[in-house]
Amino acid sequence: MTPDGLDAVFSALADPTRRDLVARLVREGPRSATTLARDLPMTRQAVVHHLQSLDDAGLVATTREGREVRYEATPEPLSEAVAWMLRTGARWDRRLDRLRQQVERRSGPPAH
Amino acid sequence: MEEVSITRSVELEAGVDDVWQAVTTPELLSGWLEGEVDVDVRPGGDGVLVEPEGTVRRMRVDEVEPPRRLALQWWPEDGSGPASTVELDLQPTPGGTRLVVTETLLAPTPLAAKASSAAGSRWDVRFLLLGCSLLRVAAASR
Repeated sequence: MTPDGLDAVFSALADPTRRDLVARLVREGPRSATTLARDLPMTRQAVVHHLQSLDDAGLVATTREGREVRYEATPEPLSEAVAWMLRTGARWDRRLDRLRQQVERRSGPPAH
Repeated sequence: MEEVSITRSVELEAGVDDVWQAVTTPELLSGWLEGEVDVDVRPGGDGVLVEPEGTVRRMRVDEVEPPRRLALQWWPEDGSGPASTVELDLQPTPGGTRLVVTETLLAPTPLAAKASSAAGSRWDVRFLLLGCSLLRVAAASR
């Protein structure tokens, strides 16, 4: 996936409705837009529109079952970005702990 | 555009000048950054961080505004990971100094192409939901 791909992941998930849709698909398994719309305060068309954004970002995949299109969550692209955030955040936590010990040992509390 | 970034903020009981020294002096950087640091702290200056496990991380300094802001880019020399920007912002507080660190992905790691919908693929729901909550936190802190 290109940098544009990662942008697509994050902008797709910037919208709370789309986060909710992904969470539902993860929790409840593959669903059609019609089934999803039944439980949500929006039209089927609106659900399809959001699912399309998620599909573009690689966060859902579609399968055709008879006359129905079913959507399934595929959160691997998100996992990659989140993995980087967790790893990088943990490193800074360790670094900043050491920095705190270093500067507070060195200078003590500042004069007021 | 949504960026992939992390932010950390710490309150340090030390004056802003002391913290500035700690984030811009190679010997002091080596003490807390995880590795040996050599860096020419001026805009366009080059640097290197040799991490304990041997990874060589190249740096290029972008912004130097004593004693408030340092921004640089860094990346593993062997291309084993992505390049990112690191911004360090220092603010004097009544108790000392607040240091805010933001690291932002510049060139994301190549991700798997559109994932297939293989029925056997398994992933951790809690991890996904954690990701969603991280994104909310990131959005809220802007």
